[in-house]
Amino acid sequence: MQNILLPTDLSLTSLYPVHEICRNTAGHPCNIHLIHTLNMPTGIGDLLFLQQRKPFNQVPPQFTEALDLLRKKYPAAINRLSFDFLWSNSRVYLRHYMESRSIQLIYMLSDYEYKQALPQSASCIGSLRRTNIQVIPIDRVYPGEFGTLTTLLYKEKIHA
Amino acid sequence: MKIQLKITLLFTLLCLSVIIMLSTAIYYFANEKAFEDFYTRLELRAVISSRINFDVSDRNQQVYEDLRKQHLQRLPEEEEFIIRTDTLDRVRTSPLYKTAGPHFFQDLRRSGKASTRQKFQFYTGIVHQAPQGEYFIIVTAVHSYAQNFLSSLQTILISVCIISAIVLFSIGLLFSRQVLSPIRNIAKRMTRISATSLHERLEIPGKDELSALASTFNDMLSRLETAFETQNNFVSNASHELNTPLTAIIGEADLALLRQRTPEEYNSSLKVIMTEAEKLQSITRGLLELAQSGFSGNLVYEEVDVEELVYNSLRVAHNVYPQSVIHLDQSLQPGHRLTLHGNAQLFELAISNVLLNACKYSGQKPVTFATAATGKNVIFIISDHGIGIPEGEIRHIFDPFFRASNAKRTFGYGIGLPLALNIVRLYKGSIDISSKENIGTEVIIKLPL
Repeated sequence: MQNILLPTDLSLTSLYPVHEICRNTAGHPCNIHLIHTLNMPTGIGDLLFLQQRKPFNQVPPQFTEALDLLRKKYPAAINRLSFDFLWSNSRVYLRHYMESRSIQLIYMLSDYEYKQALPQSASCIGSLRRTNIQVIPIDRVYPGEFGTLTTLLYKEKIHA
Repeated sequence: MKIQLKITLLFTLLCLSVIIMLSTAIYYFANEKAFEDFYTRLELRAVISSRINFDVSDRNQQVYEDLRKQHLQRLPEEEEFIIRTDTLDRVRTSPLYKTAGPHFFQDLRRSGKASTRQKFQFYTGIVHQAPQGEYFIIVTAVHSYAQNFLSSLQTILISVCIISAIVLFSIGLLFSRQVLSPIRNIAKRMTRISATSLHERLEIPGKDELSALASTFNDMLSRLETAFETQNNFVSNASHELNTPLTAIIGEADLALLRQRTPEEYNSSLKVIMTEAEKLQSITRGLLELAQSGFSGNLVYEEVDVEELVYNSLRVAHNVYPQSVIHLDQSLQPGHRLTLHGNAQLFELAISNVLLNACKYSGQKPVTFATAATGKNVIFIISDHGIGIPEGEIRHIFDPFFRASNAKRTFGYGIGLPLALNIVRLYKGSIDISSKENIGTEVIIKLPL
């Protein structure tokens, strides 16, 4: 079973590649690992009281709903759709994470500026591009900033 | 019982119970432990008695006797008992044995020394080994000082408890009055607020629980004020909307009746009157539906096929706006059949109203209509690239008869969205709108599975 990594900035736009993943792996269920990287706090107080569940409380409910929506849309193509916070964006850390999960492919949006969703968010796009795992860029037309679920609707063609 | 009195009584009872427990402990420990020195005095007398009675030297006996007479105060009801241990059986029926108790003699025999008391009668005994044999030397006396002391202590403690009760009740009353005065102020101010003075608000001093209560009241008053304002606006908007076609009908009829006219002119007037009457009918029907949709009794629950609902809504939209371009997006629609529980007609009314709005305000630009599902809800997404809604007006978009400022040139009554909202809420669903002026609008309707 294929394991695929998809970085996300907790926006619905960043979930768009799930459509492409499910179409590309048609007939073979895959595990999709969604990740969002955070900076490890440096203060002693912050480290002592670091809680794994704390950033999960900050995940927007629309994002969680969208994951549920995608699971319902592709029940045959998606064996497991998981979401993790990673506490570093370094290449070594990401490499260890991907090795532990046997990640074979990385999907990400091309020409999209991944946003800093949380104050402690850190971009992992650069580090992921430098790994030795194949990165598949996904093109899409961005329908504008007023919609939420509309950004998740799949468009067959690639528009200029 | 009033809360003020409850607080006072509770405070008084709590403090008084502590004082009573403390007083009881003081009296108890004073009674038990405060007279250890008296036992020592009795023991000294017992030892001297043993010297006087059993010392081998007569001269020493006399010295001890003199010492006792000159330096030892005679204690109240002081008595000495010298008992041979092997004659103890004869003493068992004596008053001494009965008052001191068998345990005293047992301890004396076992430990060589014993003390006991009965109320204020104190007993101390020692065992003396004399050449003639073993003797119990027991000295007993009444501790009159202890008697007086404990009696005074008892009186003082009881008086203190009674006075404390009175003082604590008074303090408690003042304290509870002070604590509850902000609540009384809130209640006083709230009685002044009525339907005609909803603009008034409570003052919020400090940052405690009462200020949170006052803040909550103020929020409630704001919502009430908004509701009253909305109701007033609704009445004035409804009146205006109903009045406009009526004015047109009356005006047209008046004009037609002013003088003789040709049949064609009468025909034209009648057509205008007919059009306006139909508008009036449409408005009143919409108002009736709005009123009925707000009524939550006897809701119909039947199985509604989502695909059929979508196609019916599309058909309604195409009938009203045949030129509109509606793209049915199934990219998020699950593969299996989706059903809802509710009234198919009402759901169709709600969704078609939103779809009609999208078609109306997007001109010839395509409208996207998509369905999706989560574990809990079926989601309908209707988005367009039309005129959008100004940011400051989005919060009013569900007010009956409200028209956005950029929508005034387009025909409409402002009833469709409030109607859709009422229907969706009836079935525990939700509607969310996001929009940007001149870019587009997205409406998401969620209905529970």
